[in-house]
Amino acid sequence: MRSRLTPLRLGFGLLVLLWCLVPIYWALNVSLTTPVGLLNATASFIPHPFTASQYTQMLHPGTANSTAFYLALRNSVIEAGGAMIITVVVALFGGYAFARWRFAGSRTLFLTVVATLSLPLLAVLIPLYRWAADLGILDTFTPIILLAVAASLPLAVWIMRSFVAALPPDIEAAARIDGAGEVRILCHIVLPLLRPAVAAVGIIVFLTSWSAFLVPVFFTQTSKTQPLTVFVPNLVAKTSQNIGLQAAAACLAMLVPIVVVVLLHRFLVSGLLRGAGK
Amino acid sequence: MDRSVLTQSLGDPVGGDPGGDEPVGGRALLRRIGRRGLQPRFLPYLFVAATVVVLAGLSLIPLAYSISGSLHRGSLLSTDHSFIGLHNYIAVLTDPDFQTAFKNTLAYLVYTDIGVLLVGLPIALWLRGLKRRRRAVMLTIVLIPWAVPGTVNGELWSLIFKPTNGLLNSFLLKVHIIHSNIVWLEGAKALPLVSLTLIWQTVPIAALIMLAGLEYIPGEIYEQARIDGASRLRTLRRVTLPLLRPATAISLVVASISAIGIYDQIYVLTGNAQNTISIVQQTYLYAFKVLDFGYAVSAAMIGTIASVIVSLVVLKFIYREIAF
Repeated sequence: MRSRLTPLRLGFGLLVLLWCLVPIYWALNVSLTTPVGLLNATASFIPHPFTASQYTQMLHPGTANSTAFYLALRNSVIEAGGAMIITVVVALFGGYAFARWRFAGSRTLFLTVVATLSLPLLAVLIPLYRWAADLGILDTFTPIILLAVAASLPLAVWIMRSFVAALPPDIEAAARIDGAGEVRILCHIVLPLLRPAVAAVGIIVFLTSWSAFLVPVFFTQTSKTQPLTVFVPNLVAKTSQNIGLQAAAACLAMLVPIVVVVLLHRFLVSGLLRGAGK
Repeated sequence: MDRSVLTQSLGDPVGGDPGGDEPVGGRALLRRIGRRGLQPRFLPYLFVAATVVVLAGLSLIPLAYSISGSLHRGSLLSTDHSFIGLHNYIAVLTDPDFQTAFKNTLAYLVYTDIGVLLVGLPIALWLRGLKRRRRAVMLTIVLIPWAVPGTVNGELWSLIFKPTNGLLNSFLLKVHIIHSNIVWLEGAKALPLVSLTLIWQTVPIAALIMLAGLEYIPGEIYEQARIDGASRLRTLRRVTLPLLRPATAISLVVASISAIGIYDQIYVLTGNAQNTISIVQQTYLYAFKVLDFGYAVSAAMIGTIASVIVSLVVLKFIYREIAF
């Protein structure tokens, strides 16, 4: 099946690279061009005249833009990181139980989990917003993190279950004969074997939560808890003329997810395939 | 997978440690012996408890409230919250603003599904033909657009579509296809171009799903097709595409659900313009501008029902069980 590199393949490969990377390259190009250079009638395809000043404006501490940027970055890290940790722990126990045990109601429960996979966020957003408002927790991290957990959990349980089911049960049985308790078996015997699963689920949840926009925009009113996904359009609205600065903000906001994909693609792919398969 | 069977099936107790570094010994047995009585009955429930709490509290119960809310008056400007049956649905469905949003969303769905097929399928076929290492590198690059957050995605494409100085106009001017700048994000052009940003974001997942589907097709079938003298195009049409139906169906469901939920890109690219407004945006407007939660939940439920129907239709007509 694997054929050699024909001109057709090569040409198509080039198209794929252009399709995937040109939008990103273009933002990078704009972000590194001086505001004067950006006033030309037609844009230059390389940053000319070159400047890094738009990044120093975003990153050099003390300016209004950088203060807002660092706050949004911190919020993104807290929200995506928090959702990731909670989801992984909950999905680990849930996925393990669904993979290994059959108990009264387990089938119904699991089918419910699968059904909520395709429940749009929209269907639950408004009651949750009203509860959050009643509880006075709008503009805090709690609802944002919890909704990110709820949005990711069905897929996370599904992926975790399929990873556990792929492990041979003999090892746990041996430990069980030796008298290890179930929690101990999970934490000390199964968990080390599940490192790739934990990594896969963690990365997927982190990336989807990092991208979240609808929930943060519903549940926040000030910049106190607004993540980068809200910061970027706000900046665009505020600085309509300064597209270099907007491009720099966009590039910085996608830096973390892109680095995660590039460095951890192995886990990401295996996790997404488990989620998609069957 | 009954646990007692698991325990009995233990042929040899797998000597050494299989990756864990925790020796399991007799002391553990003594310590755990009391706890073992708990396991079969209650422990599974303890393990799934958190999952159940999250799904019940944040999905199922709110969903019930949404449904109930859609059947009651929900204006924030009045204290009357009496039961009114399907009145909210009728009001929403006959509201011209909602009808526009609904039609637009349907258009997003069609464009996105077609785009995902036209771009995702060739990418999957191309990836399948690459050697292992090259494929891993290319798959990583293909996945990058998926990881770019929606609003950032919108900003990237807005820099491309900018009338002055945008990439598209600059390029077309330089190669002399156009002689003056075109305003891209207005009129009838806007919606397909916004769909393009969603296609850019969804193609990675679709390509990955279809690549996995291609891997499931046994090599012998291709061997047989070659022996029978089938051309490559014919093999693609008669073997690959039919056997890829399940993966294609799942890709389309994923693409359709994202299209029905489209919001982030529009927010950045065209705001609340009538020619691109989506159901999610209209829901937001009902909740926070019209201040009627009854309308908002009904609009949301209509979007939800549309997602479910589309998923079922796609699965029914494209997904067919395949036996090798």
